Amino acid sequence: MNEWGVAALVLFAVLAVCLVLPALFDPIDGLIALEIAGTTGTAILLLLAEFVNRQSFVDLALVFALLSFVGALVFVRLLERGT
Amino acid sequence: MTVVGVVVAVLLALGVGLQLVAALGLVAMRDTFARLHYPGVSGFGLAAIAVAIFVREGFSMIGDKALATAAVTLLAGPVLVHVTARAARVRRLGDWKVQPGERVEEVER
Repeated sequence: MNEWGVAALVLFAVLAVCLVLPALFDPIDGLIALEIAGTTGTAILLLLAEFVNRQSFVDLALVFALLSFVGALVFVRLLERGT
Repeated sequence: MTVVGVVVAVLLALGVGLQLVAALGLVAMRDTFARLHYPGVSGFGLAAIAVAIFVREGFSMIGDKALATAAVTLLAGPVLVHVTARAARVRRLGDWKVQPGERVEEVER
């Protein structure tokens, strides 16, 4: 495994932290964890595209970056109104 | 190891390190507004990783798209942090504006 794979593995640990945290704190803190998980997931997809040496896989990272932005905005609207 | 290899390794370590700092800050900080500082750190970590890929690959399909991904994240990050802070105030106080009795420090002119 080269340095790209190792970096992706380390980032999976960051992703695990962002998954556990929302269970312990306020929903709005979970939203912040979701935003960090979005950038971390994008970084993992970029690293895996470089790791498996398939250049077209980087499209996944680009689409995921756009969709995680929109998804987080939807959750912001939801949490602003509800409980 | 070539110069490009060293630059790529440094950028990659910086990017992963910033992501780890973001996760650590998320766990260590006490309230919502302190935690809100860390999505930006995470975004810059992603940008460092994307630049590492760009330095290795140059202007190719993967290099260009890595830079585009970093640009999207760096533009979206401040917007997300702002609307999240606004939502946190609305949840807590009912409105995002300054509430009566709330102490606001005056800006010195």
